This record gives sequence, C-alpha cells and structure tokens, in this order.
Amino acid sequence: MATPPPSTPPNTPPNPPGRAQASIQDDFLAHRAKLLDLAAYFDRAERYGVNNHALEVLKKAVAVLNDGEDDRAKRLLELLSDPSSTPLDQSPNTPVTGVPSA
Amino acid sequence: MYIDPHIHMVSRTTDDYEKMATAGCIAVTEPAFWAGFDRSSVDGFVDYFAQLTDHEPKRAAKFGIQHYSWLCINPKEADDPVFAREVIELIPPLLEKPSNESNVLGIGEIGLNRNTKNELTIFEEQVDLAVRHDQLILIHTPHLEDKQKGTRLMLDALKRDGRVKPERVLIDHVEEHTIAEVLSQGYWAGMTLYPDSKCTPARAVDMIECYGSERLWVNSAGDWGCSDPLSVPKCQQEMRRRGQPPEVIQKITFDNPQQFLTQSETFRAPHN
Repeated sequence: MATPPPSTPPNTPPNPPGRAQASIQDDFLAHRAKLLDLAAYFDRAERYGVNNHALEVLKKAVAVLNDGEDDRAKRLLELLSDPSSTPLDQSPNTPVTGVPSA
Repeated sequence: MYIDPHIHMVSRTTDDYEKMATAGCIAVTEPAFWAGFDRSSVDGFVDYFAQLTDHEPKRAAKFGIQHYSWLCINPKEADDPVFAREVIELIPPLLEKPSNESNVLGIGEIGLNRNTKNELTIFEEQVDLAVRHDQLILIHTPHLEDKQKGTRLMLDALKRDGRVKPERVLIDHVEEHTIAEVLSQGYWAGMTLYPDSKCTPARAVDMIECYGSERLWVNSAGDWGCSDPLSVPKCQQEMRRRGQPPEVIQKITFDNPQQFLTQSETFRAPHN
C-alpha cells in the first residue's frame, strides 16, 4: 500500500502565519462591504414595509456576530436551523427559506 | 492538478469541461441527482443513468478528464416510495459490469431533502443496497434550515444499520454546524463551494484549519443553481493566499479524493 500523504493536525495555523494575518487585512474592505450590504438590506425592507419572520430571525442572528463568544459561524447556522428532531409525516411542499419556520 | 469529486456535468456546457481541464482538473465524479423537475416516469431514469454511465464519460474524455458516476434515486424524488423503489430496481444490473468497463463508483447522492419519513425509508433502503453490493456511499445533506436535522437523522440511521463502514461513506455539503459530528463518527466530509446556499472557499479553508486535513475534500457540486465549476481551483488559491503549504493543498484537492475513491475497484487513479 502506498505511503499515505502527510496530514495537517487540527488547529494548525498556516505557515508562515504572517500570510494568514495579511489575508485578514486584505479581506477587510470586502467584509466591510458585506456588512453595509446587510445594513442597506434591512433599511430597504423597512422602506418597502416588509417585516416577516425570516427577517426577524436574521436580525436576531446578527447579534451573534458581536456577542463576544467564539464559533460564530457555527452558532449562526444553528440559529438558522430547524431545531426539531423527528422526521416529518409529509413534505411541507414549500421551498426552504433559510430560517426555521415560526 | 485536482479532482472535483462532486459535480453535475449534465447541467454544465461543454465549455465548462474546457475551462476545468485548463485549470488542472483531471477527474470528476458525478452523483445522480434531481433533473430540475420531477421526472414523469422510471424511463426518465433509464435515460439519465445511460447519460451518466456512457455519454458523460465520452464528453469528458475529449478534454482529458476521467468521468465517474454514482447511481441512486435522489432525495428530492424519494418522497414517493413506490416510484423510488422502481428506480432502485434499475441499479443492480449497472453495478454488475466489470470494473474495467464501468464508471460507477457507488450509490449516491442519497440523502434527505425535507426530512420526511418516506425520504428516510428510501435512504435506508439505498444504504442497504450499497452494503449488499459492497459499494461506496455518497450522501447529500439537506439545504439551509434542514441541514442539521437531516444530517443527524442520517447519522443515526447509519449507526442503526450496523453494517456501514464509516471510511466508505462521504457525507457531503457539511458546514460549520455539521462537520464536527460527521468527522467524529469516522465518516468522510465534503465541503461544497456553492455561493449563497452552502459554503465559500474562505469558510472551507477555515474548517480545514480548525479540523485538520484528514477525511476532508472540497467540491463544486456545479448544478442547476448559481454555481462555479472552477470552485475547487479557487479554493486552492485561497489556501495559497493564506500560506497553506503545497502538500496540504494537494492533500485536500487530490490525495484525499483519490484515497477515498480508490476504495472502489472502478476508480483508476489518475496520474498527478
């Protein structure tokens, strides 16, 4: 059997670390733009008089970004997930929405 | 060089093969999936399986790309068990071709769509088919708000079966809230680089940095939605940008897919 390729253990920072840190700086403007996009989206929804369950969930999810805890992406996805655990008797026949139903 | 281990080439134009080959793709694997509409009869699957096992390999070969396929009734059309079982009956003869004449790697992409009881029953029956025919398994985890629940339902079902070897199962479309459970139970995990509804190259590289490079691969799953058949080389670029060493980039995008897929006698390891 061939020699297995080298593996990277978990939580190994990239080497050299300087390039990884530089990528954070390089990506700053792109993420500033994403935050502005989200803010403008919420403003637009209000101007159009749209307020629904999905938007309310999204607004709650935003709080995860700044709550001081880690694993933000994981916790955000959990907030946006169906918390039930048993299979459905039948399909809802509605498309997925990106947020758990009310 | 890279392998794209999950891409729906039936939904891509031939130009995409050319672009992928230029970017260094030397092999793809294509699971059976939804046509974008519900097929009206079992005959639709007869033609589709012929497309996967005969036509697409020829289209790919013109660009020097090896094409492999997976067969199943996809989760979206699995909610009608009577229809699903008629489709499943088409599969065993296609598994019996000699490995040097076949491009079929296993059963996939099976899974759940809206997490219904019928979908779960058909999932379990296709797991049974794979085990009885000693086939690899490729699993689709549901979209968006259904993903975490569906992943857990399927992990429980695999455990209940008792015969499934985790190292022969790839659970695809993992994200930050499902990857830990998949990897901790010994399965392979696929990260799908699909804008809007799945993962980005940046988040995939984050997960590699957090969870290591074992039993992980990335794929583009290019299909009917907005998707990019060059997602895998773009992920390679993101890894380079962050200073990941070349051997890790090769491991994620070539060695790992090869390691998993060579468990099927059908897969002919491409030269790197």
